[in-house]
Amino acid sequence: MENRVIELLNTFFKVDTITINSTQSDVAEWDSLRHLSLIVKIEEEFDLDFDPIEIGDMTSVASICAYIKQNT
Amino acid sequence: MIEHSSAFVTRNFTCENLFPPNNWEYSGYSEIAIHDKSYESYVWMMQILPIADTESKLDFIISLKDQLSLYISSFGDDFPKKNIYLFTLFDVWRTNWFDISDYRVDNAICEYNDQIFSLSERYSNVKCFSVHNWFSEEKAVQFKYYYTSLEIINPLYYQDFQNWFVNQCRIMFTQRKKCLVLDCDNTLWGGIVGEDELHGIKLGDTYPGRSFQDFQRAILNAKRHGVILAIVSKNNESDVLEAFNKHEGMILSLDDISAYRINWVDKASNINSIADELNIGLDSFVFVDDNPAEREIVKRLLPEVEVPEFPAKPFRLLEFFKELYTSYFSVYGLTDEDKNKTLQYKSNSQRKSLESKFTDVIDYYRSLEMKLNFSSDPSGRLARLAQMTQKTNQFNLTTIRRSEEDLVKLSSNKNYRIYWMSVSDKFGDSGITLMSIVEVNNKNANIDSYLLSCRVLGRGIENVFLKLIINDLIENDNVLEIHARYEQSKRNQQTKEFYRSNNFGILDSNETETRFKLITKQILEIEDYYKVYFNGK
Repeated sequence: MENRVIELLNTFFKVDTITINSTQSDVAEWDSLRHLSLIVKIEEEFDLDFDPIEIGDMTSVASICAYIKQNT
Repeated sequence: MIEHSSAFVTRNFTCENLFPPNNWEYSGYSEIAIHDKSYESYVWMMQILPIADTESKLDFIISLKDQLSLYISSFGDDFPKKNIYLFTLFDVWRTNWFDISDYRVDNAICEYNDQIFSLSERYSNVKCFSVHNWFSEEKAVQFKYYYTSLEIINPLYYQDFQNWFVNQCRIMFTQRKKCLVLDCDNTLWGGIVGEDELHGIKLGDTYPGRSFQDFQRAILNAKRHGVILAIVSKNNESDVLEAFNKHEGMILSLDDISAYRINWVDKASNINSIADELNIGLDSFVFVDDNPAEREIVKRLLPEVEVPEFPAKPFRLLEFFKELYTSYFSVYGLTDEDKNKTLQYKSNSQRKSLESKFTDVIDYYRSLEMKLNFSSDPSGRLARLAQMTQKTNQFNLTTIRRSEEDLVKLSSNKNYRIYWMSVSDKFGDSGITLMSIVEVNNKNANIDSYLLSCRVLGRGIENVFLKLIINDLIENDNVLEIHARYEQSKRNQQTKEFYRSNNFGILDSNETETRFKLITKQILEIEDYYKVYFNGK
């Protein structure tokens, strides 16, 4: 699952630098404007429905993975 | 185009995700007045807060009208120099369920949008984006995302919005097509008028006749919006005209059609000749025909013409028309000129019955007092003749290029004739404008080159020159059989039928080449309104 998330982020931001340790502040392309679109993609990919608080919290690959686990 | 210009967006919510990547800049959320006037374009996009409070919504919309006035006045003297784009308003989350008869919010939105429309009508530098036409219930606020980022439009529809926006820009800034060319059988009506007879065709109140009728209504409305209509149909002309004049189900009338070609000639040539008649470029044509073979031929021979696929089922005709119209004809703001276009084009084109046209053309030819000087002696003129083979593209049957030296060689070869003709009329002298090279071998002749300058086209002179050549070959070389050839080039399509229309028979043909043959009989007569001189005498 971590690999799917990493691949999805790399594709979405058109980079190849994202790792399990990446956070929003490391990735220049990952700004607040694109955050929502990214979450929409993740919801689509994993067929999930996040809460606004969770969405606001998902600012690193690790926290994204944690919330995916929590919701499945 | 606005998408690529520098623009400043005045907004009250985040809307960066709605536009394609660009170098636009965005205002603060409640910053109305324009201070920096260095941008080329200014965009005004306001959105309504999704709240279940009718009164505050109303107050907000009413205050927006004042904000818009302030915005416009803040441009000061620079106003006419700036491109200003105003987005209309829509209610992202309707609250009329408090009182289902309460129309006040809709009304206030209408008034605000009216203000936008009237600004764009009054000032040519102001254009509006009718985003309320894009909006629909399912694109409404998704509260989950709204409370995350306070963006109004559902993020699932960002891309859809961008596509819509780009398409609106295309309509606003690009040239629309001008002429819609229509087939008749199974396109304007169901069935084949030549076989099913006048009352056998399907056009009327019940399906499928009703869908063809609605299709015609849509076409008529396109005409009212400045689209020129033309008909190209493989039929007997009388059958189609009878349908137009007598079938009670017809919505379109002959008066709506600026030009038509109802005959058995290939449709590409017909479209070409309509382009000539109406004097519009082929790249302004859209061709609609239910027959895939006809579409293919036009696509191949006239790549400039747009040829959309045609729906297999008549009930899809209106959807098809909408797609066709938005792809090629949608327009932002119709000019009076657009509205009068059909009229204009019709007065340009001669639409008289064949008989009266014939006498008219003869009178016209006669009035020109044309003088033709025919010669088979190229000496002293080889430079000009070589130049003609180099430069002539359109009326050139084989498009063989020759240098002056080539012609020198040919002119000393006993088996070759080099003919030329000059033309003058009461308006002036066109000089040497026709030339031909013919190879003669033992009572057989072969027309190697035949070309003329387009300045002399359209007066029948191209046929006279051919007749004079035939006569010369009969008289001086006792020629019995003449071969000729059309070789397709990018631009000589109009000459494809030339030999056939001059009574040559087809020997064989393939995609790019047609070979013809004529058995010579007697000397051909030249119409008396051409005054022909031979070698100046």
